[in-house]
Amino acid sequence: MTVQLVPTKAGNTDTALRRNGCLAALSPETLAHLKPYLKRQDVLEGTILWDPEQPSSDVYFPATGVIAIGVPLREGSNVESASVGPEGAAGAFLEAENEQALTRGVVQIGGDFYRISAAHLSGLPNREILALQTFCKDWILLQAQQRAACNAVHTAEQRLARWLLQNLERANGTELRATQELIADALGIRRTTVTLIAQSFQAKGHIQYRRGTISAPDPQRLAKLSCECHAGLSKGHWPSQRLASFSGRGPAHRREA
Amino acid sequence: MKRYFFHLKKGHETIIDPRGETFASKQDAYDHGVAVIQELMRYRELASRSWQLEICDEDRCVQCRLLFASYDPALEKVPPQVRRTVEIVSHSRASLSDTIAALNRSLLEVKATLARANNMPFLATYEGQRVEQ
Ligand SMILES: [Zn+2]
Repeated sequence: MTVQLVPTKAGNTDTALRRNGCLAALSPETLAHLKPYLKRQDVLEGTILWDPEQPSSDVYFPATGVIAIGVPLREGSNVESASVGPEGAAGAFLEAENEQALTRGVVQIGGDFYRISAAHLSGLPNREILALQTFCKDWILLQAQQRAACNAVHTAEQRLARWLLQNLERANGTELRATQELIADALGIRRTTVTLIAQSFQAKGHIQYRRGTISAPDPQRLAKLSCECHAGLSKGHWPSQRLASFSGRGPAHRREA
Repeated sequence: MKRYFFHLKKGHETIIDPRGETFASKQDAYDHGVAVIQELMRYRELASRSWQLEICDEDRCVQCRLLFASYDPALEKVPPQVRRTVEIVSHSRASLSDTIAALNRSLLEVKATLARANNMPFLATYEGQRVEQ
């Protein structure tokens, strides 16, 4: 599939930009610098943003939706190693400079993203931008390490609960647009397996599944079914939260102000 | 291509697969069923041994019932008669504790036999009951 990015006509108001947690955590001065280069675009599920054959020189900040990052192993295999939603950013800065790109970024949940060229992002000699890139890389690395351990010891049911929790949290705990095929693909298991587990979660009232939209009336119940990996990926590790603390714009710093 | 449905039976609970998948042959559907069993039971082999996957065709006729215990990789290295015992015990939908109790009891029986053979004043008991052949 080729890159399909549909420009949207909505403008880059600060309110719109701040739907991405990292952009929201930047100081007004830094955000004002980046603003002219940030392009808002609707992205469709399944769009390949970058891969080893089609490296991208851009960085993506999801306002809604999720990017799945993985290392393509064989044709059609797309098990995620990490995923990034409105709590972070991903793209060209992940790979070492002048090296062959190794990862693939695919839109897992469609939404609207802000795109900026990596050159414009790093062109700004600013410690906030450096921190942003570091925190975003840490986040992806942390998830990849945890994912590897999770796949090796936790049951399909625990992993599905973990995936749902993580993505509901990103979507502010409300609703999640995800088909069972998509979840099966992300977890590297068969669609029938996802259906059977989801049916059992639904029968027990842990989730509600309607026309590809999932909601959880009480996420605490899902948390009990999930493996402990979910706790290891809590909000404190989100690049947006770390950046907010770093820039002195987080809740921890508001007290001092 | 025919559609097959994969229903999961966990004790009294039945989880319906409302969507099913299409396959060119019954063998392909069976292979898919086995793969689903392996995904569902991975890292919870002990707890899921008595579960069953029921494969139904488009007319909702049951094609086969697969017992999870028969596909437990942990049992592959176990002698065939022990494996068969686990399958039979699981099949009778005995609870996990029943399975463990049965295995413990048979171990105690072996100990009691050995004790008697050695002329030892040994009384093997299990849950207060004397273990006898
Ligand atoms: Zn896990």
